[in-house]
Amino acid sequence: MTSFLSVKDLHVEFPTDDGLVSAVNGMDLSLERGETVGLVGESGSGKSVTTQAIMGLFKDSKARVSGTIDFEGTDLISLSENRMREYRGKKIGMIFQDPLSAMHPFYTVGEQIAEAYRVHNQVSKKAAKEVAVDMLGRVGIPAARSRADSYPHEFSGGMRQRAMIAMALVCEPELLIADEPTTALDVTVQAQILDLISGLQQETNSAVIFVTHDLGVVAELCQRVVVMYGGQCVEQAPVRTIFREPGHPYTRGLMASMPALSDETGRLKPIPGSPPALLDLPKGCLFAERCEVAKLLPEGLCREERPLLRIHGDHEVRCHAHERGLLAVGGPSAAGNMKGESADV
Amino acid sequence: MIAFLLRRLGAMLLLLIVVSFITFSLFHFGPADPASAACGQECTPDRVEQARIALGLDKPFFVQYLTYMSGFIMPRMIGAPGAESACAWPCLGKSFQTNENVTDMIANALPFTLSIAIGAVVLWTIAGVGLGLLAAMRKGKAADRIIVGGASVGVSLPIPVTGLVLLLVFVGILHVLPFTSNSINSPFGAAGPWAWVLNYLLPWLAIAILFSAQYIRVTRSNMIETFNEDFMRTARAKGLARRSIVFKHGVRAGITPVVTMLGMDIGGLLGGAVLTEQIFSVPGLGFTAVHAATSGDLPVTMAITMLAAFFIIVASVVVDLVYAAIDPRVRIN
Amino acid sequence: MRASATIGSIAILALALAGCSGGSTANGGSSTSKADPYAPLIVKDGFKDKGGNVNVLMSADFATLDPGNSNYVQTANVGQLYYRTLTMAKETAGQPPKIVPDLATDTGKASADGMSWTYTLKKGVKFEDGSPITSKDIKYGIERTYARDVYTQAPQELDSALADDGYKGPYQGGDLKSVETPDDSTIVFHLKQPNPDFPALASRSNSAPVPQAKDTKLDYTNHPVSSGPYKVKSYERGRQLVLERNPNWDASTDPNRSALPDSFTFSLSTSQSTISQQLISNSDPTAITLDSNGALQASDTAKLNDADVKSRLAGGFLGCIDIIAFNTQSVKDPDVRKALSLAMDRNAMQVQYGGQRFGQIAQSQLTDKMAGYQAPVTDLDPSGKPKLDEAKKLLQGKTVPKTLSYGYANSAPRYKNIGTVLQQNFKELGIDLQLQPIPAANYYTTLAGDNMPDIARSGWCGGADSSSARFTVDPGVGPSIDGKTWGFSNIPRFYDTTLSKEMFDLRSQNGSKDELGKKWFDVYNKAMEQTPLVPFVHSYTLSVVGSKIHNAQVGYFFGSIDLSEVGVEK
Repeated sequence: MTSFLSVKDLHVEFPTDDGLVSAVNGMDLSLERGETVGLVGESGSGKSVTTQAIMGLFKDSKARVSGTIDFEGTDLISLSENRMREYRGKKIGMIFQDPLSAMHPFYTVGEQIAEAYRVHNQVSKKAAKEVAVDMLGRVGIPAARSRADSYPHEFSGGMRQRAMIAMALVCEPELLIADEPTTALDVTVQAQILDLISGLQQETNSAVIFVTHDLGVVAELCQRVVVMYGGQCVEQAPVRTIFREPGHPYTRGLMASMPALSDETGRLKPIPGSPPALLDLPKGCLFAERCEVAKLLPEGLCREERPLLRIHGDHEVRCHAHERGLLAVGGPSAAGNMKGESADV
Repeated sequence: MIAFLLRRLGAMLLLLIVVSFITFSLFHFGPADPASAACGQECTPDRVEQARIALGLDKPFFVQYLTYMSGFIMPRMIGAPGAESACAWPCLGKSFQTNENVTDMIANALPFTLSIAIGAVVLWTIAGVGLGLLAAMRKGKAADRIIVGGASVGVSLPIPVTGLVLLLVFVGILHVLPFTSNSINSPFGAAGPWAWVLNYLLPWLAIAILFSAQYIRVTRSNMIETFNEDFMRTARAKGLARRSIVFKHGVRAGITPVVTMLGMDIGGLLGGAVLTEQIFSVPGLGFTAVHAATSGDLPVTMAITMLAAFFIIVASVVVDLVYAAIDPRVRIN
Repeated sequence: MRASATIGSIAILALALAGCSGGSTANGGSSTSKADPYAPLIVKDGFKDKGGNVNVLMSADFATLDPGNSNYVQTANVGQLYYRTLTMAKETAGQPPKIVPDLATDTGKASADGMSWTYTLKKGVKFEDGSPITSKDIKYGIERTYARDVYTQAPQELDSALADDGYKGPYQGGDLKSVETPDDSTIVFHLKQPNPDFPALASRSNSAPVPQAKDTKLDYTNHPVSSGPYKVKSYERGRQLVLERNPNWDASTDPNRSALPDSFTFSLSTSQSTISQQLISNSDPTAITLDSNGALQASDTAKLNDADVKSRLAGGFLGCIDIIAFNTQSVKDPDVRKALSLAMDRNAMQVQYGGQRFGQIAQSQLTDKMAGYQAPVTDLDPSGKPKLDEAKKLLQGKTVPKTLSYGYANSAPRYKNIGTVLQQNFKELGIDLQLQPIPAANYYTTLAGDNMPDIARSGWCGGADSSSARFTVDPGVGPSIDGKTWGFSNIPRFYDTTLSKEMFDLRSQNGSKDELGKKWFDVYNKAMEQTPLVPFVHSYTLSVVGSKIHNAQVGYFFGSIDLSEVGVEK
């Protein structure tokens, strides 16, 4: 059976003066209707590029996109910019990280939401405005009618993100991509926004891709987690599985570098070393440079040969060591090693 | 809003008074003596003194200044005792060189300067903003390179050079345009709008080539910056058409620095396009100012300096208002 | 006596402002050509057809059209068209103008003692409104020129010859005693001292009649009441002046003005570069210009050789000769001054003036066109080359100043460039010349004042009568009015007890023009032995006219196309 959204072997490359930057290198991702997937990874792991590729935002640019993005049976990659427009906003909505910069400073919030509605619906400006006001009410903005005439800079951070959500959802898209929607907000507001998103999702039964740094958010909101590293999916599994038995050394590092799951912020702490240079990708495992476990494997295996994504039921992992059963499920050793290295650095 | 305008108006007035005082002082204490200038080689000390009386320069500095300034409030009498003549309100004095009423001189010169300014502004705004926008949209492609290359040539072409080349080519060699006539100063005159356009086309071009080059640069860099803004990505993510993204979202946000520049440039140009008016023999404010300054004609130079300052100050207020209208984040208070 | 120099010096100033960039345009080949490059050129003369309009292109408005407030050659040129004077300086290309009767029946009759001159007006002369011109109108015009606190440019050469210096003008001073009008057609002038050149003074615009009832004082310039062949039809200051025929002018009373065109239209704000382009390209075949140097730029020189342009080229000498004046009070030793004069490279200075096209190297301020001509006595090389060896020889055993100052008007680069040339020349003599800018407006008052530099450039255009040596010698090197010190416009401050006394006495001597001229020549040559000044260039002006223009000649005095003779094809 085909998934609602199925991304296969997605590559996104940007030509630069120094050469080709490979931001996404064979990314796989699938999503069912009504499902919420968390897309996690460090900065530069290709999360945002993947979601922007799904939105078709690289069309008409120098970026080279290949692979397939199958959305309800249509390959979005092969669509023209004009055809893609019918998907953007209408079938796929997107919430951005910093609503202050993501909203136009010169138009009122109401205008911007109404505009998003009118692109895909043949209605009068007045009617669209009504829809916008209604939508603002639905995202919990008090006195929505008068607030609709305010400009983004006149809103508080949380209210602004609510407005942004209203704008993304005004056409009731089937897929919502939320790109770190709570990063810029303070903790109490974060929770409200997350509640709002999950509430609205249940109302509309849309699928959500939730891009985040924040494993705490993932635990709270998502059914499934996709971990990205170097532009690839290195592991994906249901939330519970990931937390109970992380399969990839990188995922383990992520878990281990979290102070505690119960911690208020639950932010990822950096893993020592740096992500692979996207200009000149290594032949083997992209994580090999930073991986303690790689040493346990036969000479040069991790450096020479790129591991495949192996499927174990609903758990997929891209790792030679995991493939060979060298990693004890939930075993502390590998993570411990990494933690030790962290102390050295 | 009204309080804002009143406050700006007050500040404007104060600034103009300061400008008038400085200009007046510069002339008064400057090295050139208008009384000597008025009588030339044969001027005995005795005659210089008589010229001083004739020009009203025999009185103390502050009396002269206040007398001059009083002309803004009421009519006054000008001239040596026994030969005074009336100078109606608003009196800016009479030319030391030709005894012409300066208010009339300004009124006569202004339509010429306006004629130059209007066309030049329209031309360079369309060309500068249009090409700048096109270059930004085609960033890195051939069109962009050609436009940017052209702009860097244009920006290094001084008006005297472009002006003379244009004159030589279109008037001297091709004979497709007439020499500028100093009897055409309005599209509504007897000669009609087309003659007006032909008459001013070359001055417009000379100014527009230089200015549009600057506007291309500014527009292009601002638009490129704007195109990279998050809200532009948002606009695309909403499914908006490219035209609407570029114009409704992009241009509106990226144009504000251009508006400021435009306002100040228009203000500056209204004070007289000195070089252009010289080259094309257009008897506007700049032309008049040069003649006045070189002949020590204080009242005329004063008046044009004040008028130029006035235009600049008004332009800055207008720019503030326009800015506030464009950008809701700017509050007028 | 301060003669008419202002009017002449303005021409020189204007010449300098013409904006020639100073690059060398001299053409080596042309000097071998046998034709006199400075011969007068008259465009299509002998034309007699009346009618048509002449377009006169000018870079600026007239400072004034008021004959009582005018010292400008441009105004004097256009003035011939709308006012007449007792006598008139009638132009012939390449020649000093000739003094001829105009409103008066003759050039004047002196009394036996030479202390008064009497003129009789022609019968039937009228103003533009048809009212008769009387001697009282002429007297009133002269009275106005005494109101110097009203008319800053009032011409003074006539006034300074008259007896009452203290008169304040008609607005405050009442009646001018030294001019009498016994009847409506007779006017008598009483002089301070005899002056055989008085007819030349009577040709100045002071004697243009002004009807007292129509005297609008400073506004008179807007519509001076015409006594000549044309009157003001419209005058938009700074833009356009139109002169049309004056029906009350009677040609039978006026043999001096052919008045061929029906009208003159003066365009008053065309830049010089546009004027020269328009004239050279013949874009308006009825156009001429009154701008100095025919508005030509040094860069136009090449185009003047085109056959088409050549046929439309009027040219001729002006009365103007530029000099380098020494301050004889600070550079006292005549031998040092002579050495400096010999060290000057006058060729290089000519180049700074635009090259040969714009003037000839001059050996004297006096020309062979002047009555009683005597050849100049000078050691200057006629080709303009410096004579360094002689200069150095002269300085042997002398105390030579280490530094000297050169003052220049900061109005045009050429004046500074002249200083740079001199700087290099004097370096050969071990003298450091310091260049000192002077604001153009104060230039001549500075030269007359306490801050006169050691060396300065000046110019002279021949005064009220450039055919008379007196009008150049007296103002240039003559004594003050009382004869006790140097005269006001004597920039070198030349004062020699013997020679200055001689000049003082010559002023009131009677005699024929040639006799007196010879005496002035002799005293000038004697004065020049002390090198108070160094002549360097005699201005020559070319002016291109439109192809329909006839009788175009460059006036020796006006420095531009003589408007009284010009005609135009219809």
